[in-house]
Amino acid sequence: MALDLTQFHAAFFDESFEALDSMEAALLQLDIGAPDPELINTIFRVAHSIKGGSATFGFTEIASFTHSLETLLDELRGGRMQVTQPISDLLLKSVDVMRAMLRAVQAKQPIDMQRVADVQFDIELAIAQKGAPEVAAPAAPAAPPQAESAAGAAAPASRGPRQWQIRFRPFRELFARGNDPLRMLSELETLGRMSVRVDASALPSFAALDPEGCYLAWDIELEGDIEEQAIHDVFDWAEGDCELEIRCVPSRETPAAESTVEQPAGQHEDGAETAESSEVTNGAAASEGSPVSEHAVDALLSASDQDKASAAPAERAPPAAAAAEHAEHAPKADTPTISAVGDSGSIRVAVEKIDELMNTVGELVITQAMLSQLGRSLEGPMAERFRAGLAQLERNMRELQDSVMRVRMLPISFVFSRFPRMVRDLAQKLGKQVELRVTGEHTELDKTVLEKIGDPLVHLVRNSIDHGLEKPEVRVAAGKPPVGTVHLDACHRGGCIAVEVRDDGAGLDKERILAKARSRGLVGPNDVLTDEQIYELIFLPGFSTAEQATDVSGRGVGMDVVRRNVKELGGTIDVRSEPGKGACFTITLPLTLAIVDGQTVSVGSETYIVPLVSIIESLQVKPGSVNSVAGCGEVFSFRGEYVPIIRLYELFGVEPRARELHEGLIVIVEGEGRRVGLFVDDLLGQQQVVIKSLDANFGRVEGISGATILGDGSVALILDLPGIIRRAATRAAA
Amino acid sequence: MTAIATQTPAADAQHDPKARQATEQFLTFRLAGEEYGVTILRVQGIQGWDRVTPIPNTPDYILGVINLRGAIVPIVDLRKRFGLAAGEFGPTTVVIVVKVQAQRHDRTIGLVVDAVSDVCNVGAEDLKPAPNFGDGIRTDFIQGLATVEGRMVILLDIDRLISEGVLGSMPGAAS
Repeated sequence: MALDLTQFHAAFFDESFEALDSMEAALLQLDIGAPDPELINTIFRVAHSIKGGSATFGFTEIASFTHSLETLLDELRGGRMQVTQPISDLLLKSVDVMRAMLRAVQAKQPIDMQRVADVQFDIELAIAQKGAPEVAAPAAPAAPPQAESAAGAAAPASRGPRQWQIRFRPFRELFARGNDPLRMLSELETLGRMSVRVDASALPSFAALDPEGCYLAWDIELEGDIEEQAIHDVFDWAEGDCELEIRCVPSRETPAAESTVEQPAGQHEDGAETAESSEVTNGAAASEGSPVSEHAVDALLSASDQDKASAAPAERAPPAAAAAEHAEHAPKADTPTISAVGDSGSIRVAVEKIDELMNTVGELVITQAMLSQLGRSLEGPMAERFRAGLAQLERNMRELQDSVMRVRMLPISFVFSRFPRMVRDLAQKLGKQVELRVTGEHTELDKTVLEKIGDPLVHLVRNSIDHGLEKPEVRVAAGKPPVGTVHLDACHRGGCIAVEVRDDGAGLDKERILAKARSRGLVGPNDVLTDEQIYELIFLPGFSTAEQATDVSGRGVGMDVVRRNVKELGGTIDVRSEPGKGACFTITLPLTLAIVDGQTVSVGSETYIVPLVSIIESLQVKPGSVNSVAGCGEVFSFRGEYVPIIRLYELFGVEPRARELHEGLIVIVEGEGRRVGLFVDDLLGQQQVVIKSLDANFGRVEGISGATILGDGSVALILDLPGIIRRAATRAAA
Repeated sequence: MTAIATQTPAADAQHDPKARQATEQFLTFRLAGEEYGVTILRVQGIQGWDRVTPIPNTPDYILGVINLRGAIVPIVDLRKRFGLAAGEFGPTTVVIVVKVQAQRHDRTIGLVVDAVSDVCNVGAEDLKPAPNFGDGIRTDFIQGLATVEGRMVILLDIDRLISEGVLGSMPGAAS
């Protein structure tokens, strides 16, 4: 029975997409004219891995295309072709094509072969045009490997080092005849550089396995100044017991690049994610004693840590770091980018499983809170011990929660990595020179947040390049360097993640925004607005579309959508701008969407949760320190600033215990850059609460972001401060 | 909490024209002297009236939300919903938890009623369409009127009642 390969498809697609991302990143770093050979190697390895993987899984279209690409890359790697702008563009286009092909195959949709053929033709054309004497390789680059080798076989003797392709398929009784594949393979290795791929497709199920049979076959690539006879000599004793094909292909490896085809690389080359990817050494060693069982285990474990020798670092490194690491590790371990996952000892887990775990932990937190509450009211000799146990439970719970939460965390580089390409394309299209700087890409973010932050960020970066950065000549005229900078930055900022998109362009055009707002009647003709208020205007719905329709420069193309998306994630977006120096958009996001640190407050008989991150201070006001404004609003002075007071009981229609301000407490909170004081009866305590959506069975309510279940099993509402501030404002206006 | 065993056969009987011929089971309850019924296939459970957490700025017939085994479930006061005189919540006041098929997904909602009375079988021939009271009185959430043991039972179409009447009209729900 052949191994069912479909179970590995998901892993193949995942890793191929990741590999393409890293290939794209490497391509973007590639300097025209003077490419870093390590980068080219990285790119080559990715293409090779995908080719190997897709061939293994029978995705012949992808394999054929990547083969052409590989040929081109090999020319670049060998220095026989120069990396020019058109070549670089072509390679990027190939990445797109490969991605599209993989997507199509993944979705079981037909591949857009026209597009593939176009790009493949371009690739072949590029190879053909290089004008080098070596015509054998490009003669049939699109053909499958066999055809290519046949074409290349014409001129093998002309060169010293040759590359041999050996297909070694022993019959089942090989061991019985006293032959040992391991010995033959190690003997072959002495002849030259060798890379081996084991083919385990004939491997039966464990029950049907004959431990004395040989089920494995090997594809060997051997390189060096080797006579065919020498190879035949190795297989001399086994030639009657196996199928042996020995073919010569023209060597395309240059000495500089040869290290990449050494044996460790061979282990990964043909798809570390497949069953066949088991280590050569293991496979060969297995053939000695109990040949198949060990291999079967290897195959099953193929997703896990395979290659302890290759000391690739754990994290999937961002482009720059990846390149550096490859430079470091390539000589000894030469880990292709694609296998980074396997090497870091990580496993892929379906998101649903993690969500399930999160939910269970959430329920546990509720139960634990309930027990703690119970424990506090307990009396008697055992109470103290009970409480000690509870304290321990609470600590453990918190740790458990943190660990589970960390499982969902991914570095923001997953989002950032798409930008170099976008910036490059956009800059080219707009005729601007843009340098993208990325910092803090290791900052980790909840996966859900991460998935939803991509589009708003794309929008902001696009805006920065389109409207913020000036054309080179304008920049030079303004005394700035011709190359504009867009800076993406992510960092932790007090329980939140702040993501910044900063540019050194012209900044927001205050006058124009204001004029626009006035003409649309959003701002009265005589209203005087602060800069912040003007910048706020760009987030108004509809404001942006008008800007775009009249094609007037000015940001705000869909900025309301950006803000809405960010708000849906419980975050905020702020803008700062300095004329002539640039603008900076800051998105502040919660670390996670599932659990919030909350302050429980009481108003009358109700309990509400105020997210701790938005609380600045809680205080009691003296009777005299509150002033009323125009008879309808109350403000009090807080750190030299007049802060309006929102009486929560009024807003929510609850019967309070305290009606006089000095009888209760004021909680100073911040929402969307505005500060207000919430008047509540009392503060109850701080606790982590699991956010439950009201949406599921009910609907959205302004001022309420969700609900949670308290320790006693009752429901408490979580306040949405921006919503409350808005609501209070409309009430006051009415 | 009293658990009501829902019957597996004739599931989705409402939508199957053949099954419609057979009898359908309804859970009947009292509300200000009138007797109402909901199809038992939608009933998830019945529980005693307990304190709810009010939600600000919602229609008055939304009493609030409760914690039902970890889920947040809104509670609708059917008396207020139908504009009947407000009644005292007494020992027989119960919450019938029902599943409602809304446009996008199923919702779980609790209905506060005066008392649960019975489970009765209603044959297709016993079901009469709701009379037309003329303009101004909506009857579209009434599936029909049935006579059970000489009493009239108003059978509710809870999907209509909830999705159009309750959740759709909530202020702020759309924003």
